[in-house]
Amino acid sequence: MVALLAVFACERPRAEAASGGPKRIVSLAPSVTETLFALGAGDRVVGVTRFCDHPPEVAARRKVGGLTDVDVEIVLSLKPDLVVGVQSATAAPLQRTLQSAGIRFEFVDVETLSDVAGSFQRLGTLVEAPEEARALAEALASRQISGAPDAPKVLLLFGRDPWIGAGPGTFADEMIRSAGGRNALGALDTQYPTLDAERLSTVEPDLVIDTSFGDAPAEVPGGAPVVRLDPALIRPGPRLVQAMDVFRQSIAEVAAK
Amino acid sequence: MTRHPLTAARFGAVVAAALLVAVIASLSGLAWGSSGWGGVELVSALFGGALDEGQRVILMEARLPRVLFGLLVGAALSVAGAVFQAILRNPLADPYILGVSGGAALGGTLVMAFGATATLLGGLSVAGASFAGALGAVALILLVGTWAPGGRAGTYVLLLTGVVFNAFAGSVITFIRTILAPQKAHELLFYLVGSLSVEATPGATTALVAVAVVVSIGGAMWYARDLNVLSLGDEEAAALGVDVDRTRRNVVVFASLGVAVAVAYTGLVGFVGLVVPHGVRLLLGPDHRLLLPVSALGGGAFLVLADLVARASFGVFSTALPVGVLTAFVGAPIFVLFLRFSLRETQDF
Repeated sequence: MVALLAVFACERPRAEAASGGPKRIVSLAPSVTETLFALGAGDRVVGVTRFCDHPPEVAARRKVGGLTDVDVEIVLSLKPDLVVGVQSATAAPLQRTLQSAGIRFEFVDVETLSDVAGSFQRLGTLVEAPEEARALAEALASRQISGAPDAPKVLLLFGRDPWIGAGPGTFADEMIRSAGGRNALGALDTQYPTLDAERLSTVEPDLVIDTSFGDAPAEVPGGAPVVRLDPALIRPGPRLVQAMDVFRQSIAEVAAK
Repeated sequence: MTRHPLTAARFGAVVAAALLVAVIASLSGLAWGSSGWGGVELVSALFGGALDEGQRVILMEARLPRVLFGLLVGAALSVAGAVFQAILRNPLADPYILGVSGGAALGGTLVMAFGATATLLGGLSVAGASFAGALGAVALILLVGTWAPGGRAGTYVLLLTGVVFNAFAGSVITFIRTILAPQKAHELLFYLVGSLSVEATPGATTALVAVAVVVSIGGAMWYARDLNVLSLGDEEAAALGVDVDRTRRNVVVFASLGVAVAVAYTGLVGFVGLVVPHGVRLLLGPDHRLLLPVSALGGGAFLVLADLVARASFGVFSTALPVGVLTAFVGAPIFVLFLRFSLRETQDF
């Protein structure tokens, strides 16, 4: 026991920093994986999470765990020269381990749409693809418009059974507003409110965007049109552009009525 | 079962055997892991000093911290289980029964959910809060215990308040989870299941945990002889000159220190504190002078091996199972098996 402790406490030499762009990248978030592939660095991605499912090539990559349960040993055994993830409360311990293993890492902030654009630029710099990064950021920025005061009220659903909607301060809230709509739950003070049937019936949205998992569209009381959206599209990655197009188009259709 | 008197030779031989088991378990824990890489040659390279950088990193950063924590946490839980079973005279008592699980989970949950500083301080502040919560709960329950007059009622009061406190804490945690964002609630769920994902724990913290566990086990062993007498009954123990209330309180405090520190870093790992002491009792008899050290070594070995299986399961599930799932999964059937053995031996049950 004492001997093991002594070994553990020993100083360890730092690994040499990589030069000439990373060759072996581990991605710790589906959005980051998508961004790396969109930047043309997909062939250098050696490890992904088990939730990374886009583009289809990631199926062949080594899985390193989930979002909150990354397996340290698998990450280390891939001998990465860059580990990329998104900032979260659970990232700190992993960062400490990577630091003492001498592995370069970057955990990007993706709280807002401008954060996401910034993460494209940051990852572009890291993998030495600045042009591609700028194009991704500009594509996202070009989709953002501002809504009028009487813009359609949009209810975005994350889940059903129970109903969970997007409150203020969420990523989806910003997406609704940047696509020319108003968040139907924008006046609440909870980010992810759970709504019972009675509360839901008082929301009276003009449009429902349903990102919950399920085969059939959600049956929301009130008769507002329901647009289904693959929840994977509202990941803070490059496919946000597609999601923003769906948001803008459906909001514009409702507004025109 | 024939009971041998505890001689120095028997003590030495049994403890040495248990130590050997713990060492073999530790070496296995170092040799294999989730990447399926290493094996026996890794261990021999370690002792031959011929590790390359990649091997060294995996060994030191990924495997060693888990093996160390497995030994410490397994030892602390097993000793606490043995101690609580003795003083509460209840074979179902586990290390968490005196409010420790509820208190620790509540403390950690509060910081995770509402402590804005939790992100900045990383795991440490959550661990600190669980530790404080665990010891706070035990203190509360000991305080309620002082309401009871001495004698048999004392153990019932401790047991009942412990169970009720854990249930209360559970409901508060469910409430907090209900009002949290889904992502946060998911992190919380992960925190509440016992797991040895302690790779990033700094060496100094590990050393402090080791000190706390050694103090906890040492303190319990100091009272080993009194525990033997206490298991006869409070009146009998008092008649034999044991200060029952004082012994019970001190032993609870020592055992809880180890459990609190374990739970703070690894969450609630179930069944270790039940299965290991019962198994050792079946093998060696109920003498706490032998039961406690052998439970400590056996518990450490058990948890290290359970974590090894949990890590090796990565290939199947693309995630390492939380070790708490595994200890319950194998612990529950083993417990029933032990029950069968002990029923067969004591026909007067």
